[in-house]
Amino acid sequence: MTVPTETCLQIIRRVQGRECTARSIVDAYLARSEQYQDKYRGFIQLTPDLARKQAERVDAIIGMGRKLPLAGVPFAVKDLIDVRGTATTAGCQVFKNRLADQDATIIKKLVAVGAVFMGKLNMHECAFGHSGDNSSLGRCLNPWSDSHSPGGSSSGSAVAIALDLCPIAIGSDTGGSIRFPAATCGVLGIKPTYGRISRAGALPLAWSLDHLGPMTRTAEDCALILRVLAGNDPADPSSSKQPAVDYSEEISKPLTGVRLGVPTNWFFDDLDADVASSITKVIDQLIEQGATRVDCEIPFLSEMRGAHRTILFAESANYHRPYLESQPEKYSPGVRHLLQTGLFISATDYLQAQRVRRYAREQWVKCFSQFDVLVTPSFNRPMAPIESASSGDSRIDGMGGRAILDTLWPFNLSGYPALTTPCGFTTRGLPIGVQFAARPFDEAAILRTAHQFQLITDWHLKRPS
Amino acid sequence: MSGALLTPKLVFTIAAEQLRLPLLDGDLDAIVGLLEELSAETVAMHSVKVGEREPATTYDPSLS
Repeated sequence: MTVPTETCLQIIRRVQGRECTARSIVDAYLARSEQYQDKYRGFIQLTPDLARKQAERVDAIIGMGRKLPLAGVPFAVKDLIDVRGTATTAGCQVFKNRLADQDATIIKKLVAVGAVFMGKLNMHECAFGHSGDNSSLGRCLNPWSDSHSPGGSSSGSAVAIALDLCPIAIGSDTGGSIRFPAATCGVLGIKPTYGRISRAGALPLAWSLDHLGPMTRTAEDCALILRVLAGNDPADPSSSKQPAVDYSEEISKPLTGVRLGVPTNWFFDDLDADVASSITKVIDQLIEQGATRVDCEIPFLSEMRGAHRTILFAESANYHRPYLESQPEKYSPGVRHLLQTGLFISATDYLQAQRVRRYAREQWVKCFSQFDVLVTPSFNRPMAPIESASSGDSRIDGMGGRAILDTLWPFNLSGYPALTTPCGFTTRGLPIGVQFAARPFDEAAILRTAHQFQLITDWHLKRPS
Repeated sequence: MSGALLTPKLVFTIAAEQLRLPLLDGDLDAIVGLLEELSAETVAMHSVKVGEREPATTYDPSLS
């Protein structure tokens, strides 16, 4: 049996070269996932029969001498993405029996190129929260510490990559929900530009802030997957017509001449000492690789924070309103209170938020012309232990002070691409992430920076004992 | 909605008469608290002089 610690590229080479079958690969990952399920609850639902059927189809196609770009690579998705014949629960009792009648666009795209679907991953209820530990369908644990949450809301996606339960996990990100758990679990996660990946077939939290994106261990794998997922989709009206790029080719370019933006405001405020030390080292290492440092001030973040909150609360409340009216008891109290609160936001406040969003984006265009890649911490401090970070508490994260997601949501409101990759550990052994962001549709710039960083470090290869 | 104007009674009235929103134990106090916090969080947003700009209706970040 194959030991499932391989990258996507290694799996593709072996399956395409007929060194092993897609069926044997997925069997190994399924066995590992079942082994870790009771303790970590990375999955809400494993689908072994469907996985084996898809793997056998891949083997048959390979047997006919054809090539598949993701031949035999197992993947799993956050349980707010539709897979025909399975329930899309969003981690909530309200949707426990919501059977999907067709595949989401990203599922169609991945399966068409030989990837093998393994199951639906755990998540913070309705994707509305960052701890990931209150899913009414089972609490997810951080593989690096039993007393810490994995972060959320794409908690199961991050746990799956950290534990090598699958080499690709898809998450969603409305205010940091891919990047925060990825950083907290020591893996790579990307939130592409708004519109880069189709959201068709994904249950929303807030339509104009929601992004889908992959988590992987390496930037090389992420580049490969993003090439498959990127592109216009008529089924998603917000999907962009910007052409996709061959990210795998772009990432091999060295960092010589890359202008590295280092914010002088906001992102480095109230930083934990271990996080500060790790990020300083990353900046030094990138400069040693040929990048040049550009200090910069990112404008309008205080104003954008209120706009992000207003849009998030109003859009999520609007989507959930019928269920809040008909079955409020099926939400956990914390999530129900957040959703109910959004119903009290006025139309004029929502429109002010969207006007501020447009204004801030205009200022960002000028600011982001000064550099090619912005570097920030992925969070300003690590997650607190579970008992003090309970998501049953409906307080808004960081209200009245610095919030743990304050380094992340600015890229949801702006729609700019951002990724996190591991860059160290705290003195207590918890992973630390560095975030790279860039201008719209320049995912190549952040993937290239992450890849070049991974070439000279091994943080992304560390695994929990 | 301005946080300064909020009272549990007002929130209850809006929930019952305008939104027809069923409230369970603990919901009213939690909503009032969250609305007060949200109101404080949006002071800076309301102070922005947005001029004649229309709301963002396309979210493609390459089109400001």
